[in-house]
Amino acid sequence: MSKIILVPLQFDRLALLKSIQSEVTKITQLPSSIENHDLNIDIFFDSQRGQYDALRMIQALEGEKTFLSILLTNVDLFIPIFTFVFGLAKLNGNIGIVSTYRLENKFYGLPDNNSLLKERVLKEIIHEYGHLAGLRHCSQFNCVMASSTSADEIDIKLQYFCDACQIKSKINIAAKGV
Amino acid sequence: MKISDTKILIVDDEQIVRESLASWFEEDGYFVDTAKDAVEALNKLAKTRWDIYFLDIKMPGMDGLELQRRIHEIDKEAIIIIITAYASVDTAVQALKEGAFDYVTKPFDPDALSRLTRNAAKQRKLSIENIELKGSLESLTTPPEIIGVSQHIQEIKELINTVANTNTTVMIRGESGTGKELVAQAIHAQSSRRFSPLVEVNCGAISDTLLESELFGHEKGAFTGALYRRKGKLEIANGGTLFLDEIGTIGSKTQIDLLRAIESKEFTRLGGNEKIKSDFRVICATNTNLEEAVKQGGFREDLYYRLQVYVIHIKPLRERPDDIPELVQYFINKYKVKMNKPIEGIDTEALKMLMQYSWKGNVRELENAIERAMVITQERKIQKKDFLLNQSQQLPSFNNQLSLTEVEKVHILNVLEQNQWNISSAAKILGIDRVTIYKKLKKYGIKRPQHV
Repeated sequence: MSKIILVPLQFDRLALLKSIQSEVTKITQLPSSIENHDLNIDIFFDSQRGQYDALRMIQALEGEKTFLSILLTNVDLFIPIFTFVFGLAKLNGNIGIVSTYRLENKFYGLPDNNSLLKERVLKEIIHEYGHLAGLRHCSQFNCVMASSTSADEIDIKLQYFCDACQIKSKINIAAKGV
Repeated sequence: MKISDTKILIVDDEQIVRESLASWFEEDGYFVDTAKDAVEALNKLAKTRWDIYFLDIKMPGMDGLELQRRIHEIDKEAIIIIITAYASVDTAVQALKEGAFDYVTKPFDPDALSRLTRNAAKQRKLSIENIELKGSLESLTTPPEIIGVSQHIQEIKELINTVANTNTTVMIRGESGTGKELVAQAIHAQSSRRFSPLVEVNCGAISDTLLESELFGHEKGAFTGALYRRKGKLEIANGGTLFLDEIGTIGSKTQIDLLRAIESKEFTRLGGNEKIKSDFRVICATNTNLEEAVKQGGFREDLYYRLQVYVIHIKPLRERPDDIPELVQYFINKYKVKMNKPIEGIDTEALKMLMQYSWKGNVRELENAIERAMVITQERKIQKKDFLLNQSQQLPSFNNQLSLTEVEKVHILNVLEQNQWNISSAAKILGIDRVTIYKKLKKYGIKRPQHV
């Protein structure tokens, strides 16, 4: 039976996480849970860039996690070739990561908006889950798998898969058997 | 070009850059490959073309700049995006001067990279479309093929060559179906006006009042139903050629207006006062006896002489049977592709029959006959039985090269076919008895076809 584990890592908005968990179950139709982990993410901090290396964080937990896990953090993430990433997941992998750092309105100098933040975090979690389920970016602009490189683009899409992505994700997850 | 049709090659000596970029583009649905240096990239380029190249500017061995030059030598339209660190922006600018599409600095802003790649793909698509469109434009302006080996067709080609590059008015005479329109197209395509439109008007197909509006255009409210201003064909043909088919059918009022417009290259739209100038060349065609029409007063003499400056007279097909074999093969080739049927040619007997047929509808009738025969035939070569020619149109006279015996044979065969192989009816027409017919059939080796 497949399952999704949400893992907070340096993430203090637990109420937000709990409210998202039920939505994740509803959309993915998989049971989910919130589990803590004692991984010290400071070792992935790059002092030159002032950011955390998302790729290395995923790699650190790769051998350990057997269920599909999405890590949640409020630190700013990067991968070596990009200035930042909202999240990261390997295609067909087991671990994804999402950062709320650039999803918060305050990053753009705007007043806090919790409901908007919740929507964005949910969309990013489902998006990274989609990659773990073997989905590539979708050309349907409102599918959750549409590529988004800015917060505005995240706001345009829905938190749901389009029909084609929904079918593909179900088939792939069933085949994975995690 | 769909995203999945866009092929990206990433050339960078850093494995992390290659792998990260490749997986990022793959997630977006691009077809991606990587190369660790210029040599590997050129080897990959030798096997297939890529739409977008991401080239690291600093690589061991051949650098990105030199690789860009090599790629452009092979594919001028290739889109190259230079990957650079801040330190080497100067070199990236040099690359831009040498034709790179853009450059990106490491680490990349995902939004900027995404936009840049989309624009690059669009640019590539436009370049490819441009090449394709240029190709089709070239084929549009290529003169149509005029088929035939006869002396007459060679003369027609000469006449076309002579007149094409002048602005002289051309009159094309010939029976219906002889290819007058094709000659007009050839003149236009060989003229310096070939990049402007060839506007064709079939004067016989529309009433005289409509023809006037068609030729000169009309202003809004010029007549009931003229809801909008409309440009006429003379105006549309500006810079190009106006081909007036069946010129002999136009009414006297239009003849006067047309003559004035041809002479002054100025006219007014129906219901308008504004003088419109248009630089058009006139080619007209007719299958009627214009001289007779002039005599009878149906066609203005002044217009007749204005149009009759350079005349190309196309002989009917029956007067140039030598062209038939090449025309037949041309139509077979044309329709075998369209029908996807592996037909190689035509049976000798069938060809002989076609060469003796009167072809009242000329080349058009021949083309239709070939098309129909190709639909019907089950053989690799079209057979005589595949044709359903109107036997009453069979040539009453024979080719001058036939012997008396051959004439008798062909004539008996024609009469038999005309009478659906009813021997008694044929004998009656031929004025001989049935026994004699049988003897002659035996003598000439003529056998009753199976389908009769």
